[in-house]
Amino acid sequence: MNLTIDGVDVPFRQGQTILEAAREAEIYIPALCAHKDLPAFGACRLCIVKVDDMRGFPPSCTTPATDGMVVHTEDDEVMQLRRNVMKLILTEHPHSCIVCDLRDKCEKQRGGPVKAGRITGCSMCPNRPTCEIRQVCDYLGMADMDIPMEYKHLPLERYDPFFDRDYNLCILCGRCVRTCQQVRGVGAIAFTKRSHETKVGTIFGRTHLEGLCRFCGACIDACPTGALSAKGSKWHGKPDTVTGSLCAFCSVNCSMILEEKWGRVMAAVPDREKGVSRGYACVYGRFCIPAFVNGPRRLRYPLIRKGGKLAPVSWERAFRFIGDSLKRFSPEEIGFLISPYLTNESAYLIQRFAREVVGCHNIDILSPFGRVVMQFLADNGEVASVLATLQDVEEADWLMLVNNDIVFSHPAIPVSVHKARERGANIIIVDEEKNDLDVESDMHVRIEPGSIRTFFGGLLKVLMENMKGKESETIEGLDNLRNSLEGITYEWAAKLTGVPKERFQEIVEILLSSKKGVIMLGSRILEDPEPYQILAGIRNIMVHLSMERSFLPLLEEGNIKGVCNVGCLSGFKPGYKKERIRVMDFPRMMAGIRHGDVKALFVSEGTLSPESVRGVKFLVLSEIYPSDLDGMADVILPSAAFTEEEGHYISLENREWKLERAVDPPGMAMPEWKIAMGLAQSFGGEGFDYDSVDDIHQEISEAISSYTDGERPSFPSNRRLIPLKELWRINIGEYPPQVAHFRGMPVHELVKDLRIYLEANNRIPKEKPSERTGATPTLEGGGI
Amino acid sequence: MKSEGLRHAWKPKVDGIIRELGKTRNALLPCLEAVQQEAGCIPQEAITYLRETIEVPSVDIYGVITFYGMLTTEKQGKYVIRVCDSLPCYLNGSREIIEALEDELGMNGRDTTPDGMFTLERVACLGLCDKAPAMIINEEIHGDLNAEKVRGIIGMKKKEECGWKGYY
Repeated sequence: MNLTIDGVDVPFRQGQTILEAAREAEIYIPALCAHKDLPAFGACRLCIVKVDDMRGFPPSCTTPATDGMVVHTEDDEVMQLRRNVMKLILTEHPHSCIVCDLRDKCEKQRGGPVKAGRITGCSMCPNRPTCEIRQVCDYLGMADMDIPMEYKHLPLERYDPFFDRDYNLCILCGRCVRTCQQVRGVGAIAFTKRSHETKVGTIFGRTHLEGLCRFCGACIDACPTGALSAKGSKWHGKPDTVTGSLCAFCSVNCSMILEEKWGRVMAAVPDREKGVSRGYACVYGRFCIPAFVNGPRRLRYPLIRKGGKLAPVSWERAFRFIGDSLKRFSPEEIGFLISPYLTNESAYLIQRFAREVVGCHNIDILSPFGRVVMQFLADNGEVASVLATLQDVEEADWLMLVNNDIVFSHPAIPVSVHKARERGANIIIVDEEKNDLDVESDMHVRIEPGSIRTFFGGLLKVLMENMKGKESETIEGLDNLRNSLEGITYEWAAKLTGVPKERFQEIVEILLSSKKGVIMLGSRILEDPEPYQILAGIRNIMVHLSMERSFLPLLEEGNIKGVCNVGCLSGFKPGYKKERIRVMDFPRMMAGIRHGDVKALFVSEGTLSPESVRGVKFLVLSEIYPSDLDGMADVILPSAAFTEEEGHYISLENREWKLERAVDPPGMAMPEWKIAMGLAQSFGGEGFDYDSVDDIHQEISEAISSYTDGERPSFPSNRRLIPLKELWRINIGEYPPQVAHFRGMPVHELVKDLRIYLEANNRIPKEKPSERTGATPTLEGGGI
Repeated sequence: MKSEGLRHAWKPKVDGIIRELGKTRNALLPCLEAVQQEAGCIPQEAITYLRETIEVPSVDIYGVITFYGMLTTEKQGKYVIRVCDSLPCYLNGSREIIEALEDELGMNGRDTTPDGMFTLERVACLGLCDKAPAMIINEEIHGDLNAEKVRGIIGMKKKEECGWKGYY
């Protein structure tokens, strides 16, 4: 179907509006309230057009395109009307700079905005380069204003973390309100009051921190004016370079655009064009990247311990020192603990160094939840096939969110959950306590603490009874499983979990209603000493339902999947080839340290407690910030952060994303793959001369089929059910809520605003006042 | 116990409306009206209750309440005087009416008199432009006002409350 816009034939799809068709054909129609991610609103009246055989001037954002329609967008009459509309909008928006005669000369002189208390013109507005009001005014040729402006004299709102608000600049297009409610599903802000008193505000005029705000920054990105602005990054002006990369703080790996100026990352904004999140990142990615990577305490020089003190040395010295020291130990006495934030290339080279040069096969990752899940999936031979993508989440008919805290651990995922809900998906929340996603759910199953295993046992039992005789023939081990569940009765499960029997039946009916469902599992299952049992329970349910791509374990660390793929998961070589010899995994290594079996350790992040490595004779630590482990380390190698290196990450949904280098690492810091190369060469290892990350990537791609995009093997060839152990409720361990980290460093340690936000939401313990005023801990010797 | 019962007197009515209109946004305004009628204002518990039952974000409910002049989140006086200050009334002297009311009631910038008897509100068009300037006291319409007439009406109200002995 086609319509004609200004004499050009433009194709359109059924249901598109004139504006959407025009935008796809790259025909400009001014509009301030329309936004591509939001349904039409029809508030600003700037997109009015003239349509042949149609009365009046319909707004193009709400008028559906029809076949053969003839539209004029630049008609004199239309333009004049738009100018009048724009004048009315400008009466409440400071516009002196827009209609100023000396504008061109002035802007040539003033490259950036002038920092001012109140914004009363474009020259003081940090939003000037991207202001949509200016764009529209330029298009309309607004030369003068004959209506006086009325400044609203509203107080500036600067009391919340992360962003400032100046509603004197607001034109009430409603994009922020609609984004908050309709895209993010949060609903922290709304229009309050009426007519000239209308203002975007929170409930009872509270602060955003007290309200529901999740500080995702989507409202700032949606705002066409400078009314909303990010605190940390509004005054730096135009960036020198922009680099499309990604955020490494969690495993969603949102695509971000990093803005560099004067050799530093100044701001990060979500990429609208590509990536999983399509312009909707979260508080960690949107606001925390610059402060995190630019921290003044970043490690800049390799340090080795001499006479009990750490002293800076050259890389060659450090490599030689490590080489000489490691040679004193037999390979079985060495352990490698790999950070799940390394790039594929770095992790690959380090495990190659360990396996081929040192001859040590004691390699494991530093991630409690990730290790359990990846081991389970790898043991059952289904690393890629069962995992759901966020698109599967969005298109699911039911979602089951188990013991998770995605609002804080993966704040970009609730966008997908909200999309699913808008489509009418059934959302079941299974949790021990109040969940922040309650708003999205019709069914909140509250279970007794520590009974999650019992819950899945009971659910499986009800499911199996519902499906009795209708099971698919390819399922193996049905009798074994049935026998293992013999001892469970409904009453017993109901008593332990606190979930009535009818509830189990209701849930099972939802599960049976559609195969398009996703079970999302959070890391809090680690409170159970045997999380394998929970995973086995979930797997049994999925095998019963013959579901594909329906399991989404909410892995936390940025590149945990990639690091496991390239052979850093204990017992698995690159590509999940089983190791032939006996190796130590993380818990065994820890026990080995206590018993004196493990004498040397290479750790690539400082998350371990100093006590746990007390018995180690030689400790190499590579990290980006000083950590508690520094006191024990014999060598500390400064590494690059994710904004400073190239490489590849594999996200939660098994997609490969390219990490780009936006700035140089501080001081002498190097990306991990270069460190591995240097180490290997100092050992005399061969085949370690790579020029760039691409060479390594090439080698990895040849060595393993990388289980990424496109090649998604279908559901397990192996459809064996796993018998469950007894499902008694057990004493639960402690597992603190997870917040974003990178290389062992919690983001909130470096970003004060994030600390305020997380403290207000009880995700981290409140900082004691004495700590706040106390001196920051420094390295021993203080050489750097 | 008693105060608890009084505070939630709106609940059965709201439940009835929701049963009738369904758990949709359509039920929001009738529910709010019912709460306002029963409780004299819309307390925070009511907002929370509505958010949980009809799934409109609470901030959105707050937005609706502040949009309509007839809905408030604060306790109002026995007599709620709503004076129109939209254009036709303004041109016919609503400013003068408001000044007279403020003076007569001794408002001093407050919304409600200290004894909780009168609440004065400036509202947008009441649909009484033919009788401009106009005001509504609770549900009673007063049109074609002037300062003198206003003082008379308020005097009557005060007398109704306290007999002929005088109000204050």
